[in-house]
Amino acid sequence: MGDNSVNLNKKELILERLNKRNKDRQNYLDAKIELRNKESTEFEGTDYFAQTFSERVKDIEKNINNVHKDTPDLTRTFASINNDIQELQRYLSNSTLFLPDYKIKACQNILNELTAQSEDVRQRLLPKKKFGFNNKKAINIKTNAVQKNSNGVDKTDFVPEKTKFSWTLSDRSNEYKLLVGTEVDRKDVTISGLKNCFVEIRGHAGSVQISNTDNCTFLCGPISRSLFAENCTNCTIVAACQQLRLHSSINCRLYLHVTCRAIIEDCTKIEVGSYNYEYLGIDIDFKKSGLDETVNNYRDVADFNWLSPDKPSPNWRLISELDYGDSKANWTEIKEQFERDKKF
Amino acid sequence: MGFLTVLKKMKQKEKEMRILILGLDNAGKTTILKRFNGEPIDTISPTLGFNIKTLEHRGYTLNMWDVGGQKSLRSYWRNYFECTDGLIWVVDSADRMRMEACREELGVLLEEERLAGATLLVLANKQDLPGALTSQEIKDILELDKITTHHWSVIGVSAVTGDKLLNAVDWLISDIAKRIFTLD
Repeated sequence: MGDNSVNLNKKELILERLNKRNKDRQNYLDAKIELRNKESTEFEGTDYFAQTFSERVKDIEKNINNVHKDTPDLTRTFASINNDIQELQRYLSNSTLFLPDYKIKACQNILNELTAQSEDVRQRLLPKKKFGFNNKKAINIKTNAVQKNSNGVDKTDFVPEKTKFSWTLSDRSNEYKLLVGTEVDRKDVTISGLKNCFVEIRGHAGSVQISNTDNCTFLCGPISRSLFAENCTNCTIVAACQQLRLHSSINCRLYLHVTCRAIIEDCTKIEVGSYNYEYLGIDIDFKKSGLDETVNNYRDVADFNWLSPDKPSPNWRLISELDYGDSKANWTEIKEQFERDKKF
Repeated sequence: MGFLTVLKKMKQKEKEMRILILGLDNAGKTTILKRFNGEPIDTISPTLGFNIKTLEHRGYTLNMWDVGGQKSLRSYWRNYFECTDGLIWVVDSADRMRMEACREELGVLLEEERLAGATLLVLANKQDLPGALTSQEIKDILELDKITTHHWSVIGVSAVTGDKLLNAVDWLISDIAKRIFTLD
């Protein structure tokens, strides 16, 4: 009996607790729902938005203007200003649905200005800390640069050596030039400003770029990736490559082995034939270049200025379809001819 | 619950992003798209026109637009600007000869009003090549530090090996998500 009454009491206690808990929960939910309804109706008006937005903008502006050199803990102040701006940005993003486009734009502009302003002040007061998504490496380079500068090295010297661009061959005329071995292998060969030249590139280049050349002949071994040529007139280019892009060129002849595709753009009078350059060891260079010797799509040239699929482009033709010229040019003979002409 | 709240919730559920991939010709835009989508990359030739891929990534639907970069196609880029959430600018890090052209084209894009809200991800592509400039060098040459109008980041990647590509796209997505979708 005694045991039972104890159990009964316990049961009642638990029930009571459960009920109380349930009631609490319900009250809490009701309060929350009420609050949410209030929020979504009251706070989703353009007027309300405009007011809140401008108030917050004023606050942030005030904060920015209040910052001066002697403000303690500048970094934290700027962090908090940035936080405020981001908060405001989030508020704007959340409100885009009920705002007219011009309003969104206007507010975005204000935000951008605020960011710029705060950045300005920060640059002035905390000049070292530059804005940017620097990774650790980047920071290292920067500190090196600063050290260099403090050692009295001229600032322009800081441009990393690698970013300075220099051509492999440039500004030459009436010359025969042979590039071989380490000058070529896996390198990016760049050629510019040549006139009446004969250039042989033996080896497996990574890529070749040719620009502004007139009346030249280029014989290239296998190129692993792309050949890019622009502003060429009266030139002959013999090359094996994965991809060829010829831009703004007139009256050129191409002898190609291209494993993907050749394209021309802003070009006229282009003649295309099959690759026929040979030298001792070209088969090894072919292997090292990774080009497939069995695939040659030289007949499939895409002209980006000629988008009609049914009519062929008037800007290029296959040499084999011409009634003049030979598709089996003998490069040794042509080179000898070039050397003879040069002497006169 | 107000009607607007319902609409807002619906928009959040869609979680769709429109991403535009641009850059000079031969930068590797199509290769990046195909590598990201898990397609073979050995038969890619210069893009005549554009490619669109819709893919699911981290719970978002990404509409990726890859538009050809040849000079004659650049004037058509503007047709793809509308509603762009993210812009991926692809740079051939080994193409030193055309860095200047690359900087100029990017500058033109950033002044475009319809891209004003877009996050900019600069991919310093072809990091697998021996002559490639680093992402830091690309940042300096393209003068990215001067950009104040867009959220941006520059990341060195290789579309051929796939190196860092996923990290880069993840950064882009989370930045856009922070802006468009509230994480409540």
